[in-house]
Amino acid sequence: MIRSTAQVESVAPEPRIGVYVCRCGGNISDVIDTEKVAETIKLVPGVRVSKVHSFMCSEPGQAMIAEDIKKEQLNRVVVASCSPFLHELTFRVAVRRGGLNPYLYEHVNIREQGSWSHHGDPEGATVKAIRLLAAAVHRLYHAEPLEQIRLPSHRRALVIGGGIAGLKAAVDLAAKDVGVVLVEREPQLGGRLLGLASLFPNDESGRAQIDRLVGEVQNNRNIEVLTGTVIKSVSGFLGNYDIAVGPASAGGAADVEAGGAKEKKLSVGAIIVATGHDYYRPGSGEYGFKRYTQVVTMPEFIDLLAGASRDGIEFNGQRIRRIGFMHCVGSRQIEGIHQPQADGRVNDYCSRVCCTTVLHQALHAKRRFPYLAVFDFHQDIRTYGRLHEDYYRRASEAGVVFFRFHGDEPPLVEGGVDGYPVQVRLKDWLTWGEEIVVPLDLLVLAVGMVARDNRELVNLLKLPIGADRFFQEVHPKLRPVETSVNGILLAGTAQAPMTIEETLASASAAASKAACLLAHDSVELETFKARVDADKCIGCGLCFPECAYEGALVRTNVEREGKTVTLASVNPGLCVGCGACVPVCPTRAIDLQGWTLSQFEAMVDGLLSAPLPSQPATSESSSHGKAH
Amino acid sequence: MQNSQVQSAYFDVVVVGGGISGIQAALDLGDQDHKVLLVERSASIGGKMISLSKTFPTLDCSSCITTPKMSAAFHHPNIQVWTSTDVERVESSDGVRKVHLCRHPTYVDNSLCIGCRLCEYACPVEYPDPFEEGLGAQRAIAVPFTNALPQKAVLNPRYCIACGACIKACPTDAVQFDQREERLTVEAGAVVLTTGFALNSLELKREYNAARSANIISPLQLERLLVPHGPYGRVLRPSDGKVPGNVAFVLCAGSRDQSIGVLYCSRFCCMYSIKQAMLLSGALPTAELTIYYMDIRAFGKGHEQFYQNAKAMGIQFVKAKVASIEPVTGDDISLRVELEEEAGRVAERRHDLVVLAQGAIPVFEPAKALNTPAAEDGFLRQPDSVKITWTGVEGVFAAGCALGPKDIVDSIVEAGAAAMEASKFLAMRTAGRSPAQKPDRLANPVGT
Amino acid sequence: MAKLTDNHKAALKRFRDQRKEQGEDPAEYAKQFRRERLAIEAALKNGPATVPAIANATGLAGKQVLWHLAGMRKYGLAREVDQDGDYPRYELIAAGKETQGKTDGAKNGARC
Repeated sequence: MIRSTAQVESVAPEPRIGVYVCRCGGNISDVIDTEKVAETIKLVPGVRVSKVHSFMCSEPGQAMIAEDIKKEQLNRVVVASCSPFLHELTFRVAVRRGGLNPYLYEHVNIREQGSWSHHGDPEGATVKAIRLLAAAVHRLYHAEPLEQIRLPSHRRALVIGGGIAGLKAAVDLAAKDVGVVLVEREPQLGGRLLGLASLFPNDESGRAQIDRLVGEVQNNRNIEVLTGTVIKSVSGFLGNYDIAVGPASAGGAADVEAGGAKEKKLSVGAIIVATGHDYYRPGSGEYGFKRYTQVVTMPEFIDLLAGASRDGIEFNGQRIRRIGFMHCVGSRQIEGIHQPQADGRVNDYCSRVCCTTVLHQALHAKRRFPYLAVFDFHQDIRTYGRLHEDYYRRASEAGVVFFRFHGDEPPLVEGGVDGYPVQVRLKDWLTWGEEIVVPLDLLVLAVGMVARDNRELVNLLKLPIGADRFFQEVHPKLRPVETSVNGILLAGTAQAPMTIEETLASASAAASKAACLLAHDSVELETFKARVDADKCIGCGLCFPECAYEGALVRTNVEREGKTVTLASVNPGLCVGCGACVPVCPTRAIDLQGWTLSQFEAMVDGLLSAPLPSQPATSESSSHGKAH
Repeated sequence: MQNSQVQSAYFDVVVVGGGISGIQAALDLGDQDHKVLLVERSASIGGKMISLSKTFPTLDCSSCITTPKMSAAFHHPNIQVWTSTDVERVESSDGVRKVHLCRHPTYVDNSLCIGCRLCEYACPVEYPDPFEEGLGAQRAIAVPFTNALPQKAVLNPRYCIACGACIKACPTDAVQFDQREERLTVEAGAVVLTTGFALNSLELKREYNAARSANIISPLQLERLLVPHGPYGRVLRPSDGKVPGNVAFVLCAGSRDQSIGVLYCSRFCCMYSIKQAMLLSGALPTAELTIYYMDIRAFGKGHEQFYQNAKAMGIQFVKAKVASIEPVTGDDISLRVELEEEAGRVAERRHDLVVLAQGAIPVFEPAKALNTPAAEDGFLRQPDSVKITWTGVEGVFAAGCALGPKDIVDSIVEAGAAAMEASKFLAMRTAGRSPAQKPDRLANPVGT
Repeated sequence: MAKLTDNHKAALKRFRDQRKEQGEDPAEYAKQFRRERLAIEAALKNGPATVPAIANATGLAGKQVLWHLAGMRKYGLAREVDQDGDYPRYELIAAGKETQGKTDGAKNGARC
């Protein structure tokens, strides 16, 4: 299954190296004596051509390199110019134009790391340039042509979770002709949205949104839905995951019956995790929860309001007239103030949706029952989203009374007097910290979102979890739906609290990433991977504990002198090329392709043995740091 | 302008706006083998993000994490980048999008320019550098900034005295004073609008008197002051080059305010102000730093913890309405604040540098450029609750701040979503077509 | 260094004429810019100075002086030397070839 197309051609017996030094129109040559660099580097063995050009990146400069490769039969090229960020690719392409493998090219930065940083020390900068070039030439002695590793892949994705995020991701991928297996633990699709009667910002019902997506899923030949099903095992890597699924609960016959779930094996190229969130469950006595029946959570209130008749909201046989909403229940918790969770940590994050939910629900209630008195207890009102601020303004206009508390002095919930079942006592910072008591018929706790207990899935997928217990993305700014495991993506509230719109965006973004990864029949992997020389490997196993990527190193049985020995080998699909295995190998059997130990040693040799111009070599010691 | 020879007048997708949203959308589409034209109004892609100092809440160096994305888009085999190009109108009819473009003259032939900057060094005129938010100086012909892409010189005709020094200095004869504005139309299967946002004027709130003091600055100006190689090389106040010792941040200085007609929350100001205060406390350890706020909206992943860290660092958070701002003696500034936690007691607070968190407002005009009404907040509409990046116009999608203010991570997610919707739209549209009928692969853009 | 050809000269003339038609005169701005720059350079001839000191000597606004110094730093014509109280002092860099990067680097700006 694993086939590396990397050609390991024999190293050319005689290196014929071309060195090209760029003046960069004075940016380099005003400080570094580029002519002297080119002249001196000729003394390094193997250098056949050494030339200077004012602008190596220009078309004439590139053409000169390509021409020299053919004319002088060069088999290695070095360019000394600006940062590789700007032009490494340019010159790799130029080298290819000349008919050379682009990895037989080395880029040396003598501008940002030369003339610009050592402008006060021209001689030192010149010596440094020569040394860096000599190192590059020595490195190239050991260079070999490389190609990107290409592995065949399945154009099919596994989506875990049949809530709105999973449904959206499945619909998106299917439209792109990517096969989808949608796995849902519950007997039916839909997830949390089914319980939400009215969504902000358009007052659509959760069921209506889910129905639209479920309709698209059910009529789609590219989507296979497995309800009542969970993931049993996962192995493989990007493009080639092997998955086993089975019935959700071994004990619950009802579950199996409902979903008709069976054991099944799947092969997929990518995995989208859309397992959603749980609502925070307040501790006993937290804001009076469980101590007073009239303290309920937001999901309970949403049901209560949806089920209320035209006469009003009835709860526990009592007509509700005064409602309080408590923000930040289970969110923005402070160590030492709030009870820690089971793992000893508090939920110190903001759950993002509760502020708008409170105001949306409060307005909804006021609109239906204008006589209601509504009280809002908050730290900050975070109606950040599009149209959310409207709710805040309209709630104020509708007469919702706002109180502000500080996180380190949360309000107290007590038994009420004068017929009120509960009351809230707080220091209100909108009235200079005055202590205020608000009697209520019902207190609604705006519970935050918490990560689901996904332990089994976490272990199967080997995904990192953040301090907030949600799945951790690989880069919180630039790669929000990708994980550190290539090919496993995150959609929706499995990653962090978010609104429905944000969940939909996240699901589509994850689908988009999956579609990119599976755009072709094969996946391309970076060429810089570890490799093992089987002749040198003694099977000591020292490399295995160093490897942080499970499955990247594989124990392989080989016949040697009539005996079976176990040696290490590399699965390029899982190896990330970090090189951690290289230094522990006692026989130097393991090496990083493209960055071999012998290349590093050669670079050091090059640095130390560089031929220097007649200038005193000591000037180099002053060549680092600012000139003034 | 990327190159003068237009290879194809048809693209699968035209992405309008080369900021981080547009770059991400283009990359997602290009990686799915769509032929993409990325159009950018200014001379370099990178948008607002490339000019920021660091990003919250990770404090990553912004240019360090933006440049690889810019480079990936710029060198992508499926993406062509046209800079200095405005989109004047997008038409959607008969199953095709027509994008009407105006390519502005840069007076430099990009196929010849090699970005050596010799013209810039030779140019005798400097003007307030827009990349440095006016705080630094730029020559009339120059490469826009260090990590601009493309790395091509651009001439600003407003300041050029046509002395010819640049022509003499140019090693490739790339300077072309005969360039003129050029209008052209490209066809596209789909369009993604990632036109971003603008900040409303510093001088919008008259009672804040920003016009009367150089030390009442915009947050983007402070970003440039905080960048290691910013205009002054360090944080100084603009009026007289003094190291500031007492800096105020005024939040909601152009949002959530009925008096200026911006009712919505601009969403990222709380977080960037906290970040800027943190960075200032590193740069100026003895400075007093005060944030005047209505609500702190630290709602994103890791944001609340970032806010709590800032409080622990000694940054002052004062819940207050800033009623007025007046320049006073010594180039200092006096704030008249109503302290909300002291029952609205009015106090005068003196600072030597004040940053106004301006509101984020739309730049794209849907009524004019897309023949569709804008939403009430002026941004593009999102009429479909499940396809949230669809603008209501067939084949036209949007992402990032074109759909209302949002931070970088939310913009990147939305850009991926818009790319997905556009790609789906194309897939359904061409379902009957064989791949052979798809337009040929475009030649690589002429790059640096 | 290339010479101006007749084609170049004709193009420059057309460019200038077009600017004039639009009623804009960059020459006036350029003269003003030059005057200010020379005044600041003259003020710095006597040795390093702060922005207020230069403003005093030249009659220019502090803001304008600082703006010029930003440009002079960028193009390697001036640099920061030390600090006088809360004000950094700047000096001229001896005339030489201008290259990008000849700045005095970041002082209190955070590094990336």
